[in-house]
Amino acid sequence: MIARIDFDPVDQPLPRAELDRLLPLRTGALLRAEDVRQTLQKLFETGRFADVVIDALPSSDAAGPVIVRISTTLNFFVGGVSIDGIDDPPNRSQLLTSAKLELGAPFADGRATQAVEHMQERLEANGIYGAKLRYQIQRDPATEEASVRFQLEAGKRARFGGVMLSGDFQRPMGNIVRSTRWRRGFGPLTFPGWREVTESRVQGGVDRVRRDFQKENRLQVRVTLDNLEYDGKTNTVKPTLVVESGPVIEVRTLGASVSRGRLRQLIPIYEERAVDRALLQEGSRNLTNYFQAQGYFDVAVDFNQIAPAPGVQEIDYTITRNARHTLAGIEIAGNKFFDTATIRERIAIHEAGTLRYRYGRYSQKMRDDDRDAIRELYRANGFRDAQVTATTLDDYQGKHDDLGVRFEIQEGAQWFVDQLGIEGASELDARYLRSIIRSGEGQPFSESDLAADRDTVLGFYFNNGYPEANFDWSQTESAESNRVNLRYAVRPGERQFVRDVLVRGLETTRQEVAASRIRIRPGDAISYSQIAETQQKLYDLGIFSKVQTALQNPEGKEERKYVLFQLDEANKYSFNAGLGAELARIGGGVTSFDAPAGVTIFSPRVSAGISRLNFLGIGHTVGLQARASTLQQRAVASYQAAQFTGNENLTFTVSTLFDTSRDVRTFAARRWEGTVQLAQRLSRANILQYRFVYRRVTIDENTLNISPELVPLLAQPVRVGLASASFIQDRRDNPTDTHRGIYNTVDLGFALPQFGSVIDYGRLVLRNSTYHPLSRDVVIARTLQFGYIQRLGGIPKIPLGERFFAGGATSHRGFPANQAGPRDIKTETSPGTGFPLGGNAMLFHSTELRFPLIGENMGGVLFHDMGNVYSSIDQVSFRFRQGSYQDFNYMVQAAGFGIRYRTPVGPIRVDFSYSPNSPRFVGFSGTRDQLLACNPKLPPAQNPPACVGIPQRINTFQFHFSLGQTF
Amino acid sequence: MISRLRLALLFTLSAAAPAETLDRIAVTVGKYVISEQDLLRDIRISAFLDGSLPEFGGAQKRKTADRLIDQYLVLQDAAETRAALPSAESTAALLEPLKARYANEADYLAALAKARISDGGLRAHLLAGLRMLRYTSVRFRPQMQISEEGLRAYYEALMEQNPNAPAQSFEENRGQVEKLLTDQQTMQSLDDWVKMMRSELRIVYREAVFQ
Repeated sequence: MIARIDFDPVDQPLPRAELDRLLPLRTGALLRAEDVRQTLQKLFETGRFADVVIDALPSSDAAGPVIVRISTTLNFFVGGVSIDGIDDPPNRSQLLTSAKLELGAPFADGRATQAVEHMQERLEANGIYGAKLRYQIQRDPATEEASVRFQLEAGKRARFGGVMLSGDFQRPMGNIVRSTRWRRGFGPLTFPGWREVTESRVQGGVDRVRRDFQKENRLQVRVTLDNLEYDGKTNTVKPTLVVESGPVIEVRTLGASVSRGRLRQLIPIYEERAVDRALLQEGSRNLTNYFQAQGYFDVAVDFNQIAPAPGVQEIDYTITRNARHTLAGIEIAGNKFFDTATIRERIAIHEAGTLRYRYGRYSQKMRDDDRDAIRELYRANGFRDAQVTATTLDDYQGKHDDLGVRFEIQEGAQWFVDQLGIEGASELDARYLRSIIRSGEGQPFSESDLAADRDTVLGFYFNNGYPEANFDWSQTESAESNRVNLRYAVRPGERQFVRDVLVRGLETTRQEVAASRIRIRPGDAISYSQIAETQQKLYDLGIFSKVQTALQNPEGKEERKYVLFQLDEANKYSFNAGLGAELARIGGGVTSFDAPAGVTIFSPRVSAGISRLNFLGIGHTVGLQARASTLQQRAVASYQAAQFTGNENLTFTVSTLFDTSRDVRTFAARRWEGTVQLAQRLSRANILQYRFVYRRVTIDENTLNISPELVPLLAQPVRVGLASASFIQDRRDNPTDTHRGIYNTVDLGFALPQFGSVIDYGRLVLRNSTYHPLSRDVVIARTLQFGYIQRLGGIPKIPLGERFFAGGATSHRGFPANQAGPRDIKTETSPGTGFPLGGNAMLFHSTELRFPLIGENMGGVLFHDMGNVYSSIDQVSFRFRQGSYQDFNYMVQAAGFGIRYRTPVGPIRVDFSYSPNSPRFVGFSGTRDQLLACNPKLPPAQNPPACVGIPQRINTFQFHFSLGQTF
Repeated sequence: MISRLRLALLFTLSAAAPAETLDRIAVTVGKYVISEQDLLRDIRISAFLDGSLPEFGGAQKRKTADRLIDQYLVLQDAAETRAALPSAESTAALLEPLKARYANEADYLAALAKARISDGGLRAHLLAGLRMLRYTSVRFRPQMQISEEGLRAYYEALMEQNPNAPAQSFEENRGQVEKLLTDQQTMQSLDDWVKMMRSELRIVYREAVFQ
């Protein structure tokens, strides 16, 4: 009988209760050899122990004569791995990856030495031969982690010291060496000496030599790096390249011309760098599809391969295009369950159109793919016997050269699930699983649903601590016709829990910053989705360049495991710089009063910025961004606390801004502004922002293009303290190119004397945009913008800098930029310049029909914009006609056409608009001195000639060039 | 008083008594443990079957460990591929000639006890060997394709190695030569496979056991 079971040492990595559950040896039980053997096996299987010895000691205990003593030697696991003294390349990440010390994996003796060897190889591949790599291992018996810190003394990087060539290279050696670009030089110029060795330079050199041979049609060229011979005395490396140039392969097309670039895309021998019959046949098929897509549906392609001379191969593709056809119609017959529109959404072939697909989009392969897609649609919905045939119809509807495609569908019977049994899951789990899987009693039966269910069920178990869960299914026919009984069998396996969460690698970041993002707690069931979510949240902080995660001792059979996070902090500083330009039609010159209705201006722009990440180690960011152009100079200093107070939904920002802007040519404003903002994400779609802005705006009087009498009223320096809140609801499917959804914003703010404001007003801006797909590619989109400023007190007029200015590419395309609304007009006291003055209300509505135009990337837009900036809310009018040259409170209408070209960053757009009722006004043409010489109280004859106002009109035609959709 | 003294004496003796090692890890193959007692049992059974005295030296232990590693690798592969293997009852046929050496069952069991092995242990040993043999035959033999030239070359090599063997033609010995060569190539194939498996698994010998 066993009196007692002791462990040596007493503190074991597994809790005693877990050990007692695990081991077959029991206090009070008979001591059996097989139990002792199993104890060794069970303990070793946990992965926690490197060695185990079981002894028996005599006992005087009444419980039994034997004390069993289990002596263990601990295993260690890779904790954190770091390195100092990097001489990039290789960079830190590359070097640590080469060490092959996988986070959480067993750290056996000798692993550090192996890691050094691997890293040395990587260093040598980068020309660092004399590197000294030392390491320190820190073992923590409590968590069985072994952290390794490497110290690198890189030494001097070697240079290339010549190139050895062997093989059959058919080109002058100097030519090949030049291709490698291992000699120093610039472009075609070569300087004395050699470049430093890096792995990418070595590989790049080999690739360039290969490409140069391929350019000479030696497609089967083989260029291999045979050896890197290092000379320690001179610290140089001499690579040996083996070149087998292979034959010159000429590919020609007979009967139809195909560009060389297109040929390289279509004939796979270029990509595979091999020539065989299968690849040539694939090229033939690709050429057939290519010509069929051009309307040559009867094209015939054949090839012939000859070797006219040693070292030369000729491949001729003979293309017989035959007559060009048009895909005039697509017929779908036999469908009862799905309507034709649903099926058409699944098919890629397309009838010919006026602009898009002039001959239609068709090839035999596309047709067959469509046939398969229709069949899959049916099978996924329980029609497991569904058959679809596709037939191409010549002389469609009696018209020569027209083709039609007919899809004939035999749906067959729809099969349903009669009974669904889930075995192996608890009653609670089974009930939950039934709610998340696709198959269900009475639901259509399909194998695609089964596959999806398998993933769903396994995902559920994997994320609830069952990493070894298994899923199996079987089906039997039900007694009822066209019904099956399904049986899902689940074997969850042993459940695993989190022993603890270990975060390593923090150097300047505070522990609590990372801890607040960790969603996993000790005792939780191990969930891979939660681990991935935590990893994402740590990345979202923006302060870690790499977040590795692993389970410690992944193969070990133990109930509780450590979850490890190894964090690499990113560089503290990031810099950016950019060059750009604005092209816009905006108000007239800076020093003259000409062209108040706008001229086209090109404005180059430079920008630069610096950010300090992870400020104070709390994940906050301090940044300074500056931008300068001929229209605007701006500097913004900001402090951003993302995931404020540990709440991932809050972002706190403090920023200060200095801005000198001339984008409204009526004036140039100088603005100093400080903002405090708290953004709160309420849900995935909804955001609230609370903001306080304090700004001082001064108008540069020298740039004012308004009547001098208005200067004291509109252009005095203004201090504004504005408290505001914004609500943003974004339910768009794709913000850069929306097809469906809603976008709403509400912005309400008050400038009050209590906030230090010299002008008191309330400001409300609303926007509502909706997007409605009419078909797969056609969208109708509309947007409404409304703005309203109500003066509440303070100085008598709302100053220029606080008013609404609108018009242009993103608001109303009947206007040049910021040209909508009231203007400086001639009065009894003012000569009037005609420049825009902004307004206290605005109302705009735009409607767009977005549709495909040519091919896949070119789209078109028909649009209608209406609205204006109004002098006040009570002046908002839907009136079409302008009452007089002094009346700007009416609704300007514009319609037009736009082109969109799809790019990865959103569509590039050009819009052309025509506005039948664009504003007319009386403007001034002259200089500031001439303007000051005018006295509006005198008759025109007594004023200088320049004082006579010139009737003008905003051009009825406008164009806008921009990036992204209008709204 | 006497009972207290007895207790104290017993306690003192217990504390002074040396610990006896019941078992310890000898070799690990991946997560599988071969214990020192596994080695000793195997040595005892092998010696019993050979009718020799068991030898427990380090070299013998290492040889036994290697054999048990190979056996584990093969039987593990057999389990993973769900191969049909001999059942426990199949050992009866192997035990019969062994038991026949003894007058009766009691003598047989006494011999086992003397050799410090159990009937169950012996049966398990025989079953493992049988299964290994069967699986090796199934797993590796069908891969062999021996050409006529190969058979002849092997026969000639055999004859050169054994010049005193009775002179018989190749045709007369074809069956035997074919079996010999097949067996040899099967074992070679098994060796190669085991070598590959060993390189893929982490096998650690605890040297203290083999001293």
